[in-house]
Amino acid sequence: MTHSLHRKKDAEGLCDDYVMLIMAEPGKINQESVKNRMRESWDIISHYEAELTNFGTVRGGGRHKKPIEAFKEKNGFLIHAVFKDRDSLKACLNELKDRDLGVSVSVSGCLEGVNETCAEVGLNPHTMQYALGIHGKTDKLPDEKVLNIATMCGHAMVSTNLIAHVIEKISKKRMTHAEAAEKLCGMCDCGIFNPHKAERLLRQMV
Amino acid sequence: MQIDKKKCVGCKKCNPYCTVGAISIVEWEAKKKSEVDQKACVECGACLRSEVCPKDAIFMPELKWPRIVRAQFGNPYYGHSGVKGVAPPPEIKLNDITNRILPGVADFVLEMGRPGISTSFRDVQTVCTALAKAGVTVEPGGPVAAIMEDLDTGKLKDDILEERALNVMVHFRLDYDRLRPGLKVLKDVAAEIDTVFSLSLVNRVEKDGSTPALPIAVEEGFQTDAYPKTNVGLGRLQEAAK
Repeated sequence: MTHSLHRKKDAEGLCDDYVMLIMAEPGKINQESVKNRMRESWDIISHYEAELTNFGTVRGGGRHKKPIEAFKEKNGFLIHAVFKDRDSLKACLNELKDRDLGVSVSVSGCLEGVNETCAEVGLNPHTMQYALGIHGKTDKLPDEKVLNIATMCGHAMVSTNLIAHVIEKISKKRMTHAEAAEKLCGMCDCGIFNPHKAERLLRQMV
Repeated sequence: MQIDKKKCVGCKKCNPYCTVGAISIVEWEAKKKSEVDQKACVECGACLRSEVCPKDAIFMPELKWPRIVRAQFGNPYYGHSGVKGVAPPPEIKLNDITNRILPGVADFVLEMGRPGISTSFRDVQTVCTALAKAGVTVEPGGPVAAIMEDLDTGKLKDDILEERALNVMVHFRLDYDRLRPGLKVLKDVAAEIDTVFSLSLVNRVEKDGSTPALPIAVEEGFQTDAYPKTNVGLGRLQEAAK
């Protein structure tokens, strides 16, 4: 699944959205070793909990569902962590490199930021995945700003109607921007939606 | 998804949560009730998981073939477990461990219906048959291959063609010498479908840091207009890990 891909670039060029995916190959060789390495990976991620805007795992829920400690014990094979700044992403990658757990790490985010971070940490990117646009009946797509929020949930669980709904509530002062961002975030069960970025985009819209 | 009209109080709270706008208010026994348009519903389960209904009126009935493909290709909690137990390939993730995608090839993921528009399986078939005519077959072993009648022609099983799903991921691979004609097929078929697809390219990073397939795709009119994903190369097989 490419669910952290296809997040739209920001018109302002802001880079406050880096999704890290850590994955160990399941079902092969030594299950116990995989579990231990994923638990250690969660340990490292937990060092940045205050800087993370979201975290979780597929079908395991995100930050809104449970704390990091609960994910550690879950024994999953995939970790998501959403950073809102490059400094903490860099520090986390440095730790992962030093611990040398052998888990596969991918980062979705603005190319310049990720490239610079990899160079500074001393990592040589192995494989790239590029979004090559949306094609076909593009007149069915919502407004670009709405799309920027909706695409942060790759499973498309954050509907454009719900975004319009929270915008209306903000306009009527029945909800704050932060509450609206959290409401939207609650629909993403993988912990990759970035409520920090959503709040910023909502402030631009209302 | 369905809404029990006997329980529903017509509060409309669930309406905006539907990922494809399939919930609306109807008149039922002289009262206003929410109803799910069964043709449009993609069985993603978002309305139920929102837990917004004050009367627990939303429910997912038992899904049988062929309708179950809607959930298999759009409900994160169904995954693709019902499609012969097949999960989509991990694309870029794990490639530093598995080397599934080697240098010299361009791996593509074409996601029909994404973002949030949904697709009919007939449109999926239109794309798959166009690719097949150009000699490009969908990656065997994946979820789409599991619902195909014939991998060589790209034809899907007849009984699912009118079903809809939120995101049907079509994986295929092109050697560099077939890259330009393959991309042209995608340009052409995009005009034939009644939905959208999000396209992505997976390419190994060469020693000089380049990804050779990307400039070719850009030359063919495919702009990379969103954040890319980078496998940073930390993965290794377990025996080799400390």
